[in-house]
Amino acid sequence: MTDPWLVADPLLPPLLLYAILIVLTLFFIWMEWERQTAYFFVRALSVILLMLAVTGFLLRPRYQTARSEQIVLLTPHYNKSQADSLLKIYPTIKVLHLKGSNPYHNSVVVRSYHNLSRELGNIRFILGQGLPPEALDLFPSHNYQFLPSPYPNGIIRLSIPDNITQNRPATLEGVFNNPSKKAKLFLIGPGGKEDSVTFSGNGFQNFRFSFLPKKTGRFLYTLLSEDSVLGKLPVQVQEQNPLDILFIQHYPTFETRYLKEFLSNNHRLLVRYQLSKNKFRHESVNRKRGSIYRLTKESLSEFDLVIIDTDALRSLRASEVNSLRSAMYEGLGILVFLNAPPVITKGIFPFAFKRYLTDTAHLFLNGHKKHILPAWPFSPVTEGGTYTIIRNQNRVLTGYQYQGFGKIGFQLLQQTYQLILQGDSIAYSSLWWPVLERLSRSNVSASAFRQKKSDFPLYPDAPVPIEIISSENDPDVLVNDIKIPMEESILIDDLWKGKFWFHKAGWNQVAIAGDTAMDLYISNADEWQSLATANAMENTRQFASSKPAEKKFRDVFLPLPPWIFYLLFLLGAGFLWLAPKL
Amino acid sequence: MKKDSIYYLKKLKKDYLLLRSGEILLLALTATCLVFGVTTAMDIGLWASLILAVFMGAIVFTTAFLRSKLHRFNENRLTVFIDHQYPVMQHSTDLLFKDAANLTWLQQIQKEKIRVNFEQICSTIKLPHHIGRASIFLGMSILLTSILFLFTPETVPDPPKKSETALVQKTRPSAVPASLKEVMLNINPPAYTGVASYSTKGPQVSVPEGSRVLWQIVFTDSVQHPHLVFLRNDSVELKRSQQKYKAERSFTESNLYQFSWTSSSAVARTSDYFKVEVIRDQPPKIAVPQQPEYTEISLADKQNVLLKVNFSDDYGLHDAYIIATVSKGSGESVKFREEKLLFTSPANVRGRRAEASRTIDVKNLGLEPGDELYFYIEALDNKRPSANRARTQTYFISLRDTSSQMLLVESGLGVHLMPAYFRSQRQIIIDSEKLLRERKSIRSEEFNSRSNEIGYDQKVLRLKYGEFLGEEFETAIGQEGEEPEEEGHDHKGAEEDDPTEAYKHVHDHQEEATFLTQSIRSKLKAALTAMWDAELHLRAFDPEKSLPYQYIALRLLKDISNDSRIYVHKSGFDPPPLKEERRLTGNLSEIKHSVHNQEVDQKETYPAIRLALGILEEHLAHSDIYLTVKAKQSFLQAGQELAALALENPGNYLHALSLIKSLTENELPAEEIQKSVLFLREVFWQVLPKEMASPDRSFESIHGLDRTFINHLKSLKND
Repeated sequence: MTDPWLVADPLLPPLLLYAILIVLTLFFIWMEWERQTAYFFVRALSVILLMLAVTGFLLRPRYQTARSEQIVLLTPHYNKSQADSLLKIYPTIKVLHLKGSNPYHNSVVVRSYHNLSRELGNIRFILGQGLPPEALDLFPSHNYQFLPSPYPNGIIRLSIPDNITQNRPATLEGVFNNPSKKAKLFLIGPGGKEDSVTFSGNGFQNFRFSFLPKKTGRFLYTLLSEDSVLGKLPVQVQEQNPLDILFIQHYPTFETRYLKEFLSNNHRLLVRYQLSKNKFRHESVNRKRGSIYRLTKESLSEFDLVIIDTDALRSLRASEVNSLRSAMYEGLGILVFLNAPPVITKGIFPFAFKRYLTDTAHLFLNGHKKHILPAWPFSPVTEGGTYTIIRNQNRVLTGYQYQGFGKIGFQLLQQTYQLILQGDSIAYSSLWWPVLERLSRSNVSASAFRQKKSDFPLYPDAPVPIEIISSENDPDVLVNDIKIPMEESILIDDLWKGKFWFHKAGWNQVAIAGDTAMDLYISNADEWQSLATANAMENTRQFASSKPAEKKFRDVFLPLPPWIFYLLFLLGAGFLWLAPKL
Repeated sequence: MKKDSIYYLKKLKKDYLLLRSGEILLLALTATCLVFGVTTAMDIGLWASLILAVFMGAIVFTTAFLRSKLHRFNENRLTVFIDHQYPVMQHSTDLLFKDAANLTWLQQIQKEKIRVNFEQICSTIKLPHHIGRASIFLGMSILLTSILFLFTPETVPDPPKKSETALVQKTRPSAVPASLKEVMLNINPPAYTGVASYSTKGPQVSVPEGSRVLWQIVFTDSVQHPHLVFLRNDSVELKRSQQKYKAERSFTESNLYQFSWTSSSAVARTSDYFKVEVIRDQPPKIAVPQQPEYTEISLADKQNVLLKVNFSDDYGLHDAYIIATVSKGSGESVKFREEKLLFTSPANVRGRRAEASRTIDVKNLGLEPGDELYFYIEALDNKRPSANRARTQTYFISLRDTSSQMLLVESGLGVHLMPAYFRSQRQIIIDSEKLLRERKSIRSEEFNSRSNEIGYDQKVLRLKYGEFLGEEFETAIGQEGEEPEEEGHDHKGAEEDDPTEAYKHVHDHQEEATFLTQSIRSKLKAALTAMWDAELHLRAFDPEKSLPYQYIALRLLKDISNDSRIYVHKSGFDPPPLKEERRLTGNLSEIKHSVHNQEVDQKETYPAIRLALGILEEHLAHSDIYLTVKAKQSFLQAGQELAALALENPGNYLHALSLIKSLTENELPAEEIQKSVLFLREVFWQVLPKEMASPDRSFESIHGLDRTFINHLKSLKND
């Protein structure tokens, strides 16, 4: 604590005041002198005391002292005992409370976050359920500590899958806090009830719904508890894009024939069989008539995936293998079918195998149904860098490795067409689509969204952060066809950030001009309350500082209490009244 | 002048009456207005509040009128009032009304005097009234009532939401269109059914297959271009005759239809969907109660088989007969001869139910021992133009062959399964008999050893037949005690009572794992048992006891061989003749490159339903259900697709179909639209089948840093 330092806050101009007071003092002392009674000096002293008191009244002196300028912000459902403890440690701290939270003694209500903006830098503690992102954005620096209240009851976490594709089962996972006993949740889709869960315990309860999107487009599913609608769930089922696939086969097999039929519904295929040493048969499906007699980097660049068998791979010329390799480094995917026990083939095939006991594989495809398929009696010698696509309990059946930007994979399963012959084409498709999709070339676009699904729910009139990666100099981002300003990140190259406020609930489109587009759903303000609160708590926690708050003080001038001058005045005047009577 | 003052007085009286009446009327109106406002606020109904208000107004008017005694107002009251108010009139105003002739002269002087005074004051005379006050009251009451109206909650039916009203107003046609008044259907079933024609009221009907249906329709109003629209865009025009519209069509399969017409106000209209369900003509039913599937007769038996057959059909039988095939010979020289046999009693099978019989004389058909007769019964009903056929399973009659004995298995099963080192059961019998014959000439050790060897042969034969039966885990030939390794299965050491057994991969049970039918299997099992016994006695050096078992085994095996001669109709593939001169020359000169092209029709299932579903979803998201013409079009197409499904599951989607119709024709009340849209969405979604998932092209954005990193990694690898 620094020494007090006096300053005055005079009612009249100080010089005039001093002059008048000095003249008056001299005049009163002269009058006392004229009285010619005893105790002159004491009386003169009383006069001076009296006049000093008057001076005090008129000058209004203030003294300097140190005061804490830190703030505690109380948000809804804060813990009162935590606030009490804080005030015990920081007795001079200022207390603010948000509209909607209980006031604390002497706390000042904050009606809007913008009212708070001048004091944001001084907030050292936030108690309760935290602040929404729009308020957190206003902080010049986040030096506060967050003392959260318990999570609200209800759904506090919900993860909507990023890519939902037609005819593939999708799952929705989340956490429910404190469900009532035997509470039920239902997921209602366009076709009625899709799935339901029943809770048995208390506290944080994980739940998981699965549903099958049967059509592309935007849909609103509904999450229901037994007695109320929790909210609408946006589900966007993406349009599918065709792949260009090249089959190079030494001879036709049933396996490739059925695979070709499976793919011919949506994709563009070119199939090459070898008739004799230099003669080939080409079949084009859904693409213009074409032929490839020699594999070159250019001809391969048209394709996203090459499915080749080991015989065909072995009979390629060295130059063709080189073209295949460099196309792979540029992003082409290669899937190798084994015709014979795997051997090293011209270096392009990086996998090594060891013998395995059985020549069948037991698989669970498409849920709970068990299938037994023939497989090569080998298992890959897994080194680092081999990613698994299909495996069962005992070994990896399908896997791949990255090679540059492309991938090369192997398939140990054989005669998978048996599944189709058994009439289970769904299981067949669920076996093959992940293999083909993971291996195929992925389209590299100049720009992409980095929208986090954890942002759900978004509300009207709240800021929605929009982040994109774009290598363009000035990407145009359009929200419902309105261009919004974007700011490039100072720290990370090509990362752009912007913000938008949506005014109405419903679907909205955000697009990067000339590139991709994304649909955003804005929920109604009364939906997903518990989830939004949990998100706010999580956000507030993320920004909170881990360091304990330092005590910080500021010099302030406080007025001297006027009773001091009153007392002086009383003393002086009292003695002057008493003196003649002595 | 004298007249003037009287005239003026009379005018005063008239004005007074008018003003007071006006005042009373205004007060009554005030009351009416207030009561109306208050009662409307209390929501007792418009008419009730109106009546109450008028009643109240009338009461107020009457009371006020009676209280003011206006009906008794006369000159006297006026003069009294003027006398009181104006002293200059010196209490003599009444004189002004009186005729001068009836006055005394003093009165006449006074009258003259006050007449002058009256003329001075007459313009200032003001009679008391409160018309201003009453107007203010009325104004205030009107104001109050309007305020009451403003704050009254809307209890009258909620006005439809903006979008819905827009929909209703935008699209509801102005004139009420014509609708169906009466639908009459005459059904003429085809003549062969023998069902008389009948008629029903109402548009839904079930008819026998091939019936002609005649519609007779009466509309409530005049219409143009009425049609019956069937599925798959098939339509029939309704032709007018007198008051009715008529159309005719015959049905061979179930269908859905709707009426479509253009009303007089040129609005195209369609009705709901209705069902015409066709009752199929069932094929005849044939029952052969007493004939076993397989009959064996020996030469010694009576060689006649009596066949009794019961027929029935829903409309009537037309013909029935027996198709018999005789098979002769064995091995590659099997010959077949087919004959059509008619029933003997009755000769012609007719009617809805019939019982027919025939005795099959096996000898007449030329059967010899070892030959077989296959037959089945076929029946035709009277359906036109093409009859329904039905046939029974095939029955077998075989004539036992006891003469020849031959090598067994080869003749029966098409595949040569018997390795060279096998001895047949016949050979074992020959060997055993030979051993018995030579018993006395050889030493007992040799006898025992040979008996044991024959026993071994018997065992090998048993094992071989055991394989047919699926006894694969029995001791295999030549490697006793060694279990074949079970390849490809992960399960280990499953215990008998293991409760998890149901979830494991377990081999087929050996009882079921064979190529053979049930009857053959039981015979084979019996043969194996006999072989066991034969082997037992051979091993015990007792070929005598063994021989009967060996014979039993032989007979059973013979039976099996006959059983397994399976009758197959001529079928198969004739390969083109090979050119011997080119065979195996290795000449590939005619093999050329070939390029083929194939376009797969990438059709989605139910495209219109998918489209309509998208539209519904979009509308639900915006909670606005206004359908554009295009949207309606796709709804109608979705309806067509749904109707095709409805035909397969009659009745399942009819409600959805009629909702589509009402939605596209704006016939739904606004409050039901949302509900119907949700229902349709559900139906559409459920219609969409589970389909195969297809791989998709993935998209990613690679940051420049990633690209550099991977390129460096590649160059590092190359180093």
